[in-house]
Amino acid sequence: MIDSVIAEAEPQRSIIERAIAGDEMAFARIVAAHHGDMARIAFFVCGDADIAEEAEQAAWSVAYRRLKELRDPDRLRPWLMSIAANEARQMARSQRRRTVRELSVTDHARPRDTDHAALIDLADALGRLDPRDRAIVGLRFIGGFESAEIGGALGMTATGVRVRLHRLLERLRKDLGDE
Amino acid sequence: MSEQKTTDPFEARVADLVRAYTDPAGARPIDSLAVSRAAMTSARASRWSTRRLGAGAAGRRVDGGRWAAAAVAVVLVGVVGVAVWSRPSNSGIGPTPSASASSAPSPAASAVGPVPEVLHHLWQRPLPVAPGPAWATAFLVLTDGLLGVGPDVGAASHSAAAAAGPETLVVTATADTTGCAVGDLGVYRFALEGKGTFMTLTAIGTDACATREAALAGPWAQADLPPPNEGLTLSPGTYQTTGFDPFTDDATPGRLSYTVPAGWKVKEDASTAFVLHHLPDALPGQPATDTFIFMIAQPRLAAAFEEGAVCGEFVDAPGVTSGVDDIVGALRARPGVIATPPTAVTIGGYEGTLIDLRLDPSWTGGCTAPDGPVVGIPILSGPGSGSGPSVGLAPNAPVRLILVDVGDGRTMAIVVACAEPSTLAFFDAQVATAMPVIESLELHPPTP
Repeated sequence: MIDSVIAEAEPQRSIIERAIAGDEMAFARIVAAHHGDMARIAFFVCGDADIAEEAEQAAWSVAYRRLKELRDPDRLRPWLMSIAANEARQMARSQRRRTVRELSVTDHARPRDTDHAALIDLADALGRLDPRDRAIVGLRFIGGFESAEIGGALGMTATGVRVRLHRLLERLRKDLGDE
Repeated sequence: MSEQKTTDPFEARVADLVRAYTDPAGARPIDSLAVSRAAMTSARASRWSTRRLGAGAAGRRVDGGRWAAAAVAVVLVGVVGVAVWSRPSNSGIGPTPSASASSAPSPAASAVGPVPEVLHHLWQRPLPVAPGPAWATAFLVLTDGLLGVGPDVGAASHSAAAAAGPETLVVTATADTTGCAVGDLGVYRFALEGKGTFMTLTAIGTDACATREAALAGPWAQADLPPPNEGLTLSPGTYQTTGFDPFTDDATPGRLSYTVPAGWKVKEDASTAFVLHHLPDALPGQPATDTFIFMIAQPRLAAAFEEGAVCGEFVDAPGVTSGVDDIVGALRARPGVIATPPTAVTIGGYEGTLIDLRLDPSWTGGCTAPDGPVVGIPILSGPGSGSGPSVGLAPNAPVRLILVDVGDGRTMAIVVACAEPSTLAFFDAQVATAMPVIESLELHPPTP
């Protein structure tokens, strides 16, 4: 199914317009193209695979409902990731869980070139951050967002994001033993 | 203007770790069409929802150049925060579900709105009178578009929720759980008693998810008073803070009530900081015009940067109390700050002083961030070390500051700031948006 919905090349604007019109295949193509980013950011913010799945599904619902408000098709990816990050934040808070410690140890999940101990340290460090801070870090490093985009997504000023990110990186630097 | 991409080896390492950490999530297979269908179904069911999650990016193009070029002065960074400046179903998520036909009445013709606000609470099963095996309770959380039910707050199964009539809810499972498949529909009648603190849910027809029906049907007691509202878009009306205490009295917290028109949202409602965010819909081709109102209990004057300072947390200015006159006097005397003459105001019956502040355009002082020098001047820091939002001035980022004497040597700061760089005329418009809300503030002192 995934292959079939992403196989064709079609201008993004056209796909979005068809999705807005209710074409579920068109929306499925958007889902297929952006699921990876959505799932990553949702998991990064929640730190819990189950909550992240729910957050991602909720984010797709929000995205569909608000798709007609997307003015620039080129902004689809950051727009979607912002929604996923916010849904994940909301869900993480409502769940009152701060379980950003989940690490898969299955072979496919195990990074080949990354120190697993460092991943555990990262998970521990993220567990000490609140969901908004995790969203800031996630949007930066998963989404490649600039500070202004993160601010737009999270209701912060760009400057605030820069400063907060700077401080978060300092915390991570300590937590990851990179001083 | 784009930000420079980092060449910091540590940031590159973090990027690698983050990628590895999220690889399993990103690689999780899904059925895209099933996800799409579930999303469309759920969205239609709650089409009238007023939630604005993701609205910061949704529906408005953030002009990166404008943002990056500016250094806006007021920053919300949560409970631990600081402001400085910088230079410029059928879900396929999870296991593939099987299609599930609902035997509940179809909500298609009548699912018309968000869950009524009177239901937006954490609910709990009334405890039985006698202890015993039946002591186990359950929790139910309802927001305008979501229902969660489970044995505890942290283990709830979620469904999309929408109103289908004055006393009717339609719920749609959003995830596969025991006995429940994504897309399973249930329709419930709710009845409130007393002052709305007791509710009885009764299934209309049969919920396609029998487990959910068993969990939902029956009596519920409101478990949160007053209701949490952080993160919610507010309907026009009068509200009261649930965390913020302008009097900073831990033993018997005071509260703040406020009246908002449409378009306001609570961004933070912590004990020492309360933040309202106005997010009007942007016109096509126009930038967003977010306005923030920050309320800070017991603010402290932040020390000015010394030459060569590294950007970081603000430090207190020595010898300046949190008193209104002390702070106002120090700010007016601070080099680089242009301040309007102080104006006496009354906020909720308490006297205060209003000044508008902006950075002298010729000012070049500031601090040094990893990506270069930052122009700006610290103004306020929140109470306690590293807590609460902090306030500063940056180029093209004026702020309105109102300091209110709430008695016993305590002060509350109210700050109006824009999320984007602004001209004075633009700022005036933002202030005009914010002032009616500020003028509506009522302070409720602690009651022993």
